[in-house]
Amino acid sequence: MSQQQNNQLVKEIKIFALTQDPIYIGTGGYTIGRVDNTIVRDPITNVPKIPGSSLAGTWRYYVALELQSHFKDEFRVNLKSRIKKNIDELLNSPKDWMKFEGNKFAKIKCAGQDDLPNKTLDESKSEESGHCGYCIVCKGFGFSKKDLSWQGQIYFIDLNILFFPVFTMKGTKWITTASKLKEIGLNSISSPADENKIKTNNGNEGHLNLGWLYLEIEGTHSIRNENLACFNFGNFQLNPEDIVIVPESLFSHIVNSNLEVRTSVSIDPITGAAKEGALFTSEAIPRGTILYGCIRIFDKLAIKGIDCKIAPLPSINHLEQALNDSKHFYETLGIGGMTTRGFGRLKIILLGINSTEKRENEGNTKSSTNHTGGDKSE
Amino acid sequence: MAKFEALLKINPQKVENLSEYITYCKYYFKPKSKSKVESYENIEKLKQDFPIVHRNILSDSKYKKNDTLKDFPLNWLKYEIIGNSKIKTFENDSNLKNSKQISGIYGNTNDLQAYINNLPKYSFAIWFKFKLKTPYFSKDDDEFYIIQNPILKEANFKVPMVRGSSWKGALAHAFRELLGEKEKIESFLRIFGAGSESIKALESYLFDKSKDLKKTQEHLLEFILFELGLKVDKVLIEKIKKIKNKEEVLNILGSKLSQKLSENKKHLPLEFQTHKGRAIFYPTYFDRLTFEIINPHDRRKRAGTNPIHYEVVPKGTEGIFQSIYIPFDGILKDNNELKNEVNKDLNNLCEAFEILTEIGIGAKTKLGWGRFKIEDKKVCVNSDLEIPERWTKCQD
Repeated sequence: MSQQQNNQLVKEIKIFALTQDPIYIGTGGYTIGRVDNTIVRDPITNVPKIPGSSLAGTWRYYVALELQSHFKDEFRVNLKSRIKKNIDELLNSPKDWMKFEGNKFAKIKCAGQDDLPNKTLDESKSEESGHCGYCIVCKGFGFSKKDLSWQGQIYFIDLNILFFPVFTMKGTKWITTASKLKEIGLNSISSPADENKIKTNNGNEGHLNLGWLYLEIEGTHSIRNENLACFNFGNFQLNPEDIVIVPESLFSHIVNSNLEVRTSVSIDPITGAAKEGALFTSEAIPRGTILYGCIRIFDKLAIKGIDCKIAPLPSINHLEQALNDSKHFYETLGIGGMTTRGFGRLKIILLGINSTEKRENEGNTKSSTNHTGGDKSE
Repeated sequence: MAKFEALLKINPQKVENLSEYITYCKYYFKPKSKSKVESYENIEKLKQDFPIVHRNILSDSKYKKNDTLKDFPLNWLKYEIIGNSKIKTFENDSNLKNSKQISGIYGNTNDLQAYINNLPKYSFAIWFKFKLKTPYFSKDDDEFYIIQNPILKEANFKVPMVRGSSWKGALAHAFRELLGEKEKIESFLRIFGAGSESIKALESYLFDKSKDLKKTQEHLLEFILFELGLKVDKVLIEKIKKIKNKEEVLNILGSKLSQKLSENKKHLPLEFQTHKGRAIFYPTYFDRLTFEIINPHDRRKRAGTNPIHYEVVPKGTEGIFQSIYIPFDGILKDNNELKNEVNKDLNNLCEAFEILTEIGIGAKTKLGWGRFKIEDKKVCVNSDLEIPERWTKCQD
């Protein structure tokens, strides 16, 4: 892996996300407890997360949607009319990544599940349905055809909770732990010494309630405004005063007892009253949570020479641009369930980090990044 | 876990912002037992911190252990905590600002327009300011609160709000009053989406996934009656009962519900298949709070029985509504067809809002609560759509 990274074959992009609405990504099953509809959690820590697969699925669709909406009207619907044209002629005000030559065969059906996996790559070119196997969406996210299967070049990792909002008597505070801050590169922060104590910016408030927990404040943390510069989500900026560091052992408890739990009932349109037996409860990651994770893009240009069937391949740069230009759809179409009624919207920030720089940083700090390193190798 | 119990010591004089007010209402000092009162620093301090503890609890032998809400002097709360103006305003509250910013609610339409420009062609946003003509109330799930009926608040910011789901539900309800024409039924399904049991049953029969004709008949009737709220006469019921094959199902859909089907098409239009709606609804946050009391009267004595307290957003409060419409499923449609659809949807939506202002949002609309007046109506478009009458373009 280190060899690859030195060769700059892998680009790692850090991703930070702010939930603009509660996020509901259901497990589909039932668990015994007080809620009917439970959300996806990390099996070890029991903290809710956004699975990488959900991210990959929605992003694939948003890249396809962005690409399609740039096709000129006459070519957007009619696939066959594109064949003899040059890619430049097909698009309205195209960005660099849209000019990737395989995009000639792109269709909206390149997102979602492949309808026609039993067609060959060549046959898929002119089909109205199914993955095309040529465009930047298929190459970037992967496809499987009768004669050729291709693993995507973009790797998504789960988004985990970094800052979690909790209502307190001093307003809403965002809780986090020292190990989470270390993972994003704030190394000098240590956990509170006592497992029932917390750290705040001022450190002299005495006690603070985090939901129902009433905890003693141990002292100050050393997070400054400049450390939080990358959490600038448009109008909203996280301040050091709003951050509280809690012991590792309490984090999962506080998160789970402050999730948004909602009791819903279906309304009968005729009577205007609640329907019988239609009451259910669901939980969700609340609004204002900040999550982090990373995306890795592999440069597979070397393979192009070995297997000529797969050529052409998009470059890392183009794939990165494609992700960046379509991430705004998360602010409306969102992720997870119930997105048209005030759920699932997400604001995403991508921080590109060159793989070699990243390694140097890790070397310097000698921090406990072993497990994150483990995550990265696939 | 006794040491984690939240016994908060708040002096009401110090209740200055929304968080302190809510903390006060949520975790106020409940003198549940003598030992709890005794363990407070001293009784004078207790009286100072909580003027509501007016009785001499320690010497009162009849002191009830389970002090109920009835014993809580709510008028005192209304006048002393909420204040003499009877209204608590908190326009500068940091939690209000944060929740607005996090939710992506635009204070003006310039930034909204910039966002719309990045969306697929024929997307639009509806943005308006409104003023409540009557109080707004919607009950919160929170069970631990000083009064029985706290107003709905954002889960972790505790700001009074209207949820996106409330807006969607209320607007869909208002929209049903328009459903006289077939075209508007299609528009309704496009905007709000479809995915109910009835739609799924119809779909699976028409696409050969099920052969259960009886179930299809039932669900078709249910769909017309309950989901669209249309009138059903004996003739139609008979007609639906006599359905024998798929063609007859399509005929009924075409004659009663769908313009597209009646124009001689043979397949089920996209609108009548399971799909996500094109409109996305944002929440609204309010910056004021007060109390209202409803006092049910004894029918015989003509006198009040038990006053019921409600925490409400008072009349005169302003809010911002925001909704974005993205025709994401129209990417494979012909330009003119799509434009036509979107124009109709935009017009119908704006019409539905006029109806909604009269119906009201939230609970107790029967009592006249939740009515509002739309003040600054804006539509942000990214293409050549016709703007409905009395609405203005964002750029103007």
